[in-house]
Amino acid sequence: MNSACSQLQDDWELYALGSLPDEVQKSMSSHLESGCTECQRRYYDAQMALTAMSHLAPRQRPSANVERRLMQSITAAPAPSLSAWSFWKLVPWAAAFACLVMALWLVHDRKRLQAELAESARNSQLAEQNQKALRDELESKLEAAQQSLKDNSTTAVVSRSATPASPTGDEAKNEAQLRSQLAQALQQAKLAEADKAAMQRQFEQLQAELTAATNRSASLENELRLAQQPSKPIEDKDKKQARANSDQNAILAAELAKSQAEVRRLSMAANNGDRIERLLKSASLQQISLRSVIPQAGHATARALYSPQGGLLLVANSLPKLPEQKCYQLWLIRKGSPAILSGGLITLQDDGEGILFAPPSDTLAQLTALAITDEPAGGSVSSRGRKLLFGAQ
Amino acid sequence: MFNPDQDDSLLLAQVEQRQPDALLALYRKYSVRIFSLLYRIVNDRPAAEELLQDTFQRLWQRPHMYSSDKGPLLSWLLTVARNIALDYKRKESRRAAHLVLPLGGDTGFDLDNLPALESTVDPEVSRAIRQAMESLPPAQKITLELAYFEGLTHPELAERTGETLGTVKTRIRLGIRKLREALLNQGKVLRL
Repeated sequence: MNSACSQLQDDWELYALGSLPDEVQKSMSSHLESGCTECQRRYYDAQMALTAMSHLAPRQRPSANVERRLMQSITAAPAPSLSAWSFWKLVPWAAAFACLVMALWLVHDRKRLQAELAESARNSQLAEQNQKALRDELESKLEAAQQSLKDNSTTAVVSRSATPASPTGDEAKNEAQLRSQLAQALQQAKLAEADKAAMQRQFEQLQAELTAATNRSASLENELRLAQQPSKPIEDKDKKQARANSDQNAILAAELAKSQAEVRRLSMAANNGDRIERLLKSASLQQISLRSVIPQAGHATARALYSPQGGLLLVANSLPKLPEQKCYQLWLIRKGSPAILSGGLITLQDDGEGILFAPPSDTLAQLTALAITDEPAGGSVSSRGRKLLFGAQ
Repeated sequence: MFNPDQDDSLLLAQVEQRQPDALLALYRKYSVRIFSLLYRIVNDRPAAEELLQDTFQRLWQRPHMYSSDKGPLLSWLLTVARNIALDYKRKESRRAAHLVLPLGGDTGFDLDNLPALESTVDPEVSRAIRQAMESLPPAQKITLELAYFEGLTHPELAERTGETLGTVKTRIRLGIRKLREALLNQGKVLRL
């Protein structure tokens, strides 16, 4: 046994009774669950004794209705997790949510396309600038080449007039180089023209996509507006329906509570009726009348019918209303020991009438007198209140 | 050979598998014992019947709450039933005064004056328990009965009996221990 167990060993009886503070109960439950066999044995011993005490309760049999109600309650079909009403209420919200998501996606897509278009426009502009620069450069080169050809030609004419001869090898070589550069420049110009045309096509395509996306966005925004418009009346309708259902439920719950109270009252009345019948039929029926013995009791009176076999029925009239923390208690005064026994608490009604049934008992055979006192709410083990009414055989 | 504990564990396993017949079998087996305790505590037949139904509904809804290390199933069911009955009684006592069974005058409960007891299990056990209770010192007997059947807290018991909290706790402890010893000395096997 460890130190924790030795601290707990005196409390297992109180734990089994459930009379310790909640936090202590929880802590001891955890200790039990830890598998401490010594403490489990102590708890088990205490629980056995308490379970044995339940045998002291007089045997009572529940009515067959309880079994029927229990079986009905456990075999009833489980309620659907989402009622039809809730489903239809959610439909417009789901549609609106879907449209909202779609609209957000379109806005995002349109921004993406706009960015691409801007990038494309910038690229196109750059390409145009490059093309222009290239064209200028080529034109300047071409002009320089023509000028050079012209100069060479002039020199050649002068030279031919002086010494007629064919062009030299260097001149022919320069001319061929210039022609090649010119062809190359023309080729590049053609390629740049093709790039420009391709970029233009891409630009036009992006422009078309942007227009289409804008149209789709506008269309979905319209749909969203349309989806939101009908949801309002549906929502209003559902709210009205919910209010109506709630009101109806409240009415039904009130009626049910009323019916249950009535059933209880009737059941108690029937139960009391049975008791009264048994009491009145019993052979040794006796009676005691009680009268007020102090001014605080007013004009209260009470009468008790009793027999050892049928129990005791006490009916009191004109009992003054007591403060909430007080109650009326009946005391049985007998020849045996102990001489005074509690007969139970008296249920007081609004009109000052109080009724009490006590079960059959051998004590009633020894009864000599009855007394009614006022005691703290819940009653007393021994009488401490004022003796208000008294009656003897 | 019929083994009630084994039988309970089988029925409980079937309850966990959502077989209503198993719950019905347990209800028929223990409802009288549990209802007797409930009626003894609340002294109101319709209320006791509702609480009985509630007890078995809890078993149906949460069978895993019980485990064999908590003792026999009946003990656990009685504990559940007693707790919900005492809760009900506390709520009711706030609303109105209610009937209670006769209390002994100077000595609290007078078991001699209670109606004849019948056990659903064994009349001899019931008799042995009554004798064991009678063998307790009166103060222990009163305190134990008020704590068990009336559910009075320690401070309430101290106020009711005019004793200190320590004395009240000691009486409960010793009362339960002596009750068990008395039952064992009588040679009664507690089939709970």
